[in-house]
Amino acid sequence: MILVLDLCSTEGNLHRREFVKPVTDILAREDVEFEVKRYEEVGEIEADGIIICGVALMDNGFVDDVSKFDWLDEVDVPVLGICAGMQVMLQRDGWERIKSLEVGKLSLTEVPKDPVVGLPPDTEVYCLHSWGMQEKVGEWDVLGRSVDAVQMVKHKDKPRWGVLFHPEVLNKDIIDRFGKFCRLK
Amino acid sequence: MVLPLTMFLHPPTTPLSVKLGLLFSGGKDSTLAGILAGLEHDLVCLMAMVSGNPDSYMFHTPAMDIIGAQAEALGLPLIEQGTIGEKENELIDLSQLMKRAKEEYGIEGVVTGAVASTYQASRVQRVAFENDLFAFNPLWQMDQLELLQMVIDEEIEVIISGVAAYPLDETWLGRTIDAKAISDLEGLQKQWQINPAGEGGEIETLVLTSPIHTGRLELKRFKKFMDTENSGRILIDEVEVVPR
Repeated sequence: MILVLDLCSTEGNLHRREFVKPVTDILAREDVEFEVKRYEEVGEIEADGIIICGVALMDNGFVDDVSKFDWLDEVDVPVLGICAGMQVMLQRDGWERIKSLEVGKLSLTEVPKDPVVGLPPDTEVYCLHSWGMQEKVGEWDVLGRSVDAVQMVKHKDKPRWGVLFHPEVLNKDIIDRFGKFCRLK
Repeated sequence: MVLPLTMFLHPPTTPLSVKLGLLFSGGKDSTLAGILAGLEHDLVCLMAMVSGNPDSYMFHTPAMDIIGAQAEALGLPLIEQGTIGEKENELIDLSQLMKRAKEEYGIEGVVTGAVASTYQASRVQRVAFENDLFAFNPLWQMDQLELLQMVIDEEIEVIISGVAAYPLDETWLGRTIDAKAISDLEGLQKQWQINPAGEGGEIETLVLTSPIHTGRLELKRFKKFMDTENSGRILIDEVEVVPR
């Protein structure tokens, strides 16, 4: 079972339909079981993997709540952070958020070969963020970039990935591959 | 355990209600988005771009001439913004529309019926952000057959007002979207790769009424106009708003 975390600070379903449901629809199509929770209500984790979803452009509520992700230090299961989800994981490693407005389709200047987040050269991704992350040497390696931002990261020791773009919109197979990776673990 | 769709329909917490303007075309997608937004927030106005370009990149044009009647049937004020419909000018006009809705109705966000077009969605997102407005896209990335089913489940009465793809023809114009129509569109999807909800512009729709409408549109006089065998639209000469 994949735990899918909703980081939207606009409570209710309107943004959840936009940032969480597209992720769970992809899992459901592949018959991957999932459970959706809000990030403040994680509780005991019994999942095989965790996806931390993105939020709307104007929504920065999660930034002040990074301490509510202390459980990340305890879990060993694979984690995929999307946009805000990636930012939260990197903030915990001391990366700083920097203004970076990228909205719409764009091409990556560097793409990785990776079993979960790997993409063919010249792949377009869909971005929706007004903040990015200032690169820092630490627990994470940078796997992919656009002209303006770090777009893909992988933890040096743990099965954890972060993507700043939205794979639930373009490159849905990243979510497929993550689901399969968790199932094999 | 795969959770049912209904988990996305019933909020787990009491939401903070904000004032929203609905980017409205009169079709099924913007109406359904408005219904979903209205469950949690305060819909205060309709916002429509009136494009002079029938092939607008951004905005759906057929049947825009009756949008005033639709606003009356919804019981919501309408702000219309004209645009000559050229690629980047449309964005300046869209920004103007958002500014007016902020000034006149104090909106804090906009709702759109965007489903799959990253071109449309990213431009609305950017213009909303520049105007310090939230953008809500509650149908984003929805499966098209699921979307059509939701239109029926939400009791939206909607007809096909335009067609623009083989093998759709004149017989589809005016047809109500019901279970039989969905099944037929699903068949065309399998055989001809038609997007069943018209995401590729294959069909345009016109909503007559829904549970959030206070009135219902009655098309008193209209005719079907076909440019080619597989491209045409309904031209409405007279419409009346009657009580629901």
